[in-house]
Amino acid sequence: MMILVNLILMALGIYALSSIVSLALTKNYRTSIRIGSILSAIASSMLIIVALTSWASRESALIRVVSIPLHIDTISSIMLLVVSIPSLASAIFSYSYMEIYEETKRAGMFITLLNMFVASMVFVVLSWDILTFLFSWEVMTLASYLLIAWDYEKPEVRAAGIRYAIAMHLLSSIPLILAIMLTYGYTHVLGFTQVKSSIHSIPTLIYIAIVILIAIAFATKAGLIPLHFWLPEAHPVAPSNISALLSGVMIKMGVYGLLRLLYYVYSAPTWLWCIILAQALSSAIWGSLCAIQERNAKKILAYSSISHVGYMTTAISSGIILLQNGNPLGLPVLAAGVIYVFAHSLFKSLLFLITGCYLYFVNSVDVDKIYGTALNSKSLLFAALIGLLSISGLPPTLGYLSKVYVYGTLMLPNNLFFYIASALLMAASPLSMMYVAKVIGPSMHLGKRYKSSCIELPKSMRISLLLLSSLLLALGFVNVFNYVYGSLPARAYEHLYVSIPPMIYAIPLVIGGSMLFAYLASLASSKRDVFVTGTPWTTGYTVAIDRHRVSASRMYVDIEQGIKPLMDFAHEVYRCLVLRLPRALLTSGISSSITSRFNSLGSWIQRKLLSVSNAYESKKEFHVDEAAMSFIIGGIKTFRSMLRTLVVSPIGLFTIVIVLLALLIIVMFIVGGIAW
Amino acid sequence: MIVTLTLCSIALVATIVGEALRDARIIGLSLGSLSLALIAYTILSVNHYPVMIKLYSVDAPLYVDNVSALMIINVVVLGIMALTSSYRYIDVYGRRGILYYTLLLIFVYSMIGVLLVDNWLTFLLFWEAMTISSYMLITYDYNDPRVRNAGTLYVLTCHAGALLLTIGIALLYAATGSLSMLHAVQNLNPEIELAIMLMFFGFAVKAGLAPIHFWLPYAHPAAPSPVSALLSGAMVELGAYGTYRLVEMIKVPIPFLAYTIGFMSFASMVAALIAYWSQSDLKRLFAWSTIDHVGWMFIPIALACVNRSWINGAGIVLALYVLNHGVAKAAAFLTTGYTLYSYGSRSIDELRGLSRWDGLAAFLLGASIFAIEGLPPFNLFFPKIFVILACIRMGLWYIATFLAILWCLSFVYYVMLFNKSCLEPPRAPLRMLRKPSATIYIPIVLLIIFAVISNFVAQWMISVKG
Repeated sequence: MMILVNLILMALGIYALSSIVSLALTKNYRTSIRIGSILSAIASSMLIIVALTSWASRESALIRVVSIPLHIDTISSIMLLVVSIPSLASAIFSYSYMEIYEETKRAGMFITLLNMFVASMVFVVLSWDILTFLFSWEVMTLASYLLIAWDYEKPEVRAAGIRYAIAMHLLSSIPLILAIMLTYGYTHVLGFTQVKSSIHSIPTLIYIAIVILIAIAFATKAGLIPLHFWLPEAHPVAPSNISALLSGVMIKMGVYGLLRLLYYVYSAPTWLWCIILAQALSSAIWGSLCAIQERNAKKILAYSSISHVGYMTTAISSGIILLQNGNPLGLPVLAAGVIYVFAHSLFKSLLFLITGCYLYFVNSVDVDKIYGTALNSKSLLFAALIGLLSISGLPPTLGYLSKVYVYGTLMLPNNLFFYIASALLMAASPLSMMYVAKVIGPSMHLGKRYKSSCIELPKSMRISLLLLSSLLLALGFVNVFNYVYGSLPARAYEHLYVSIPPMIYAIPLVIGGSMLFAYLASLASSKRDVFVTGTPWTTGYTVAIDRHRVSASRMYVDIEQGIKPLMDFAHEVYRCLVLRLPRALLTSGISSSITSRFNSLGSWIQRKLLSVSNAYESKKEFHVDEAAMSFIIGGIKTFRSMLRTLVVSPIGLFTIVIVLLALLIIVMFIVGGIAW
Repeated sequence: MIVTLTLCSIALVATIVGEALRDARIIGLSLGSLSLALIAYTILSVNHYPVMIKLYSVDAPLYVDNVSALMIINVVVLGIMALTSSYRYIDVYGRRGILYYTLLLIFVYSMIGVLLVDNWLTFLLFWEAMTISSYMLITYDYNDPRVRNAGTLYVLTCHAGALLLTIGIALLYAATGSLSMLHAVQNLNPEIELAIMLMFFGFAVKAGLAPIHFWLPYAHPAAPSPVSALLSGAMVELGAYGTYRLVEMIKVPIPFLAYTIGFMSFASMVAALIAYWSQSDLKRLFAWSTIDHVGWMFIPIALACVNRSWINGAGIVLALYVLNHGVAKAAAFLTTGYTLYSYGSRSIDELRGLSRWDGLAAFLLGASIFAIEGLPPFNLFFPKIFVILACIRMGLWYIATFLAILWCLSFVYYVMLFNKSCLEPPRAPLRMLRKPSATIYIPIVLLIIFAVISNFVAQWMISVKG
């Protein structure tokens, strides 16, 4: 343990050194960024070693770093990995990427804030008393605010930054401080262990208030509905390497807070976890639906973060509900949730770094302006492919495994409610494939190609992309679940050792592997775009061929029109509840205003329902059976065109996902019958 | 101690002589800093607090405990920074006849004297020296009628306060027969109660507790910025220190004082919170922030008035608050000194978008704004949390909640101020009058670094020596 303390101290020292050196060299922008990011990367890799060592030793220990009590156990060390691997990638990425911000001339400041941000998150996951936790939590908020507002010359960045700061303060810091005040008032202790042991001395009403406040604080940070509103504004405006940390790591601190404080320390009642589960499921679907409609790649990914936080929180809260009901099968669900946290931190930071590459090449993240960017660099292409496969849950990646673990373990308790939860998550999965196809698809597109000034990415950016993508690929072949589940501190449940056999991913692995092979082979075999076989008939007008393609931003117009009434309905409800109702209550007679508001809402709902049915009537060609047929015909024609369909067409995408899911469910039932 | 005293007097004389001959700046800076460092060394070389230091023939021993030690460290740090910062800063005013460095040294030494003495008579002596020297420093720019008026308002108000204090001390002496601060008063009678109230109001005038805070938003901005840093970061806190010593003497609960303090503290905080939103002058804004923080500092004293067993805890929370706040507030005022020196402006609107012209100034301003608000990683966070937790410990939920909400509301203001002054685009170009000087920005950088570690240092010191 002494070695760990020394390693942590050394890592913190190197972070400090990196900040000091880059501040001292800040006049020379590039040197400062380079030295700072190298040192920061070294410190992050030391933290990876700490995390792996403590995880391998599988014991929990209270350590003291300069009189601050810290605690390492399995969850902490996995969270430490979640913090340190993306921050390593992000630091390496910054080495060259920050050149596009050269005119800001704030090299030292950037490195300092980056280090402060990472170090504060390290303390968040390791702290073992409420005061240290709150302090590092607030440092994290401040550092992330300043990093979000980094490009503050743009008014929308300033606005997003200030909104983030105030929202975080009002919805995360204040509830947390109030909860701590209440806890201290009734228990007079601040350490996690002491609070846990004296939790019963708090009166019931106060206890309920505390757990609700804590749930609000962490749900805001995690971006769970309805406290997610700041996230799609704040995450896209930061520099991409910071967005990678915000989406890949910071929102997981909210999930960690739920797990550590709300479950472990306060053991919140089951009904609260049911509310969180409902929030999580709705986030999973709502985030995906919103993401489909966007055309800004970073915004799509930000909405996708909301959706994926929904996934991991679903698993974690279901696991906790099961455990609190005395069902030991909650533990595998919890383990699956933790694995999902880890996997998401890898693939979401990878995808944000990929958008950073788009910015580097074409200075835009509009999905219509990134055509062919990934073809500039082989490693970017590889990373984009792995990112695409991971986030949409396709083998052979860790993303696939983590999703399968969540679906599969949710089915373990043989309870209808959790079957439904699992099915809802599965339904959201094709959506995530659709929106990520919008982000990644155009960049692999051979046809319309935007010229960029550089033809290859700098080496550091390539290294960082390859690091994350090869990790995702390599872990896709490892049965991670058995390792994580085996390391969880669950002495009570040892008689029930759930082991997931390798069979579970053998079949999809073969499919996925052959798909990957075919894709790579087809890329290697020809550089020409085989789809452009002839000129389209334009009735004699000269029209550029590009005009005949489906542009990325209009990929899902049909679906967008289909879900538009739903979106409008949600916005209307929000407007009624949050804006109009209070104003009406304040300005006019209460009863009459309420009835008139609800009347207007009712007539509005009626109108929208009519329009939904009209919309359905008018879109006859969009039916599942035809889509399936089109896929089969397409598949018969060439295997490659199927892959192309996968990337650009919603119909093909749907069919592939449906077939894969059916396959998955069959496999799971077969294997589940054998193993469990 | 003797060496220190000698050096102090040499420094004073040398600055007078230097001023008479040519320029006292080098002498004042070097000898003054050396003597202050020696004082700090003397205080820190004590193995264990509290301690009596007896000067060989004087019948007034010096008394140092945790509280006064931390507050002396605060005065010394701020004093050295103000001396350094003044080196170039007084160029803003051109050459004047007033002995700036001598007065500054007298001001700092008398503040240290106030913190060292153990009886009320010598306390009063240093207190008056402090008031007079600070008055002269406030009116340093006496050609400006606003500065003269602010100085007059300050000196009249503070002398009224000193009058109350003198009467109070006399009454206390008449009632108890002792002038020592360590004399224990075991029971209350009307005379002692009157004495306590008079003395408290004497201190409250100096501390700037509402409703007798009216002089503060005029006087602090009128002074040269290094002096403002000392006034806000060290002097007004001595009012809280005096109240603490007074409460420490009385060994029985003093509920009427607790209610008075509580009421006045909340009045200060609320007044400051309302005043923030209408400020256009950075120095005036920071002066209002001092009123806010003084309200916070008095809360632990009010708690200790009721809960007598917590008096030592209250002293330590107070001292931690003073140290952490002093460092942050001095950084803020010295930053306004920077902008005044380089750009001749301290208006929030004129300095809007400062980062476009001067990244360093914007960084310093942003960091000091976050530091005086007590946002982590700045350590003012800790004493604020301690005050809140102490209220809870006593079962005063409504006060704790109120404090937390006031803190959060003022945070919203400060983060918007940061956005406005550092991030938003400028309205008009800012013209540089003088090149930023290292003696002006290095003290601010040091203070900001110290603001990140001050609480850890102070708590380590208490754990080792207290």
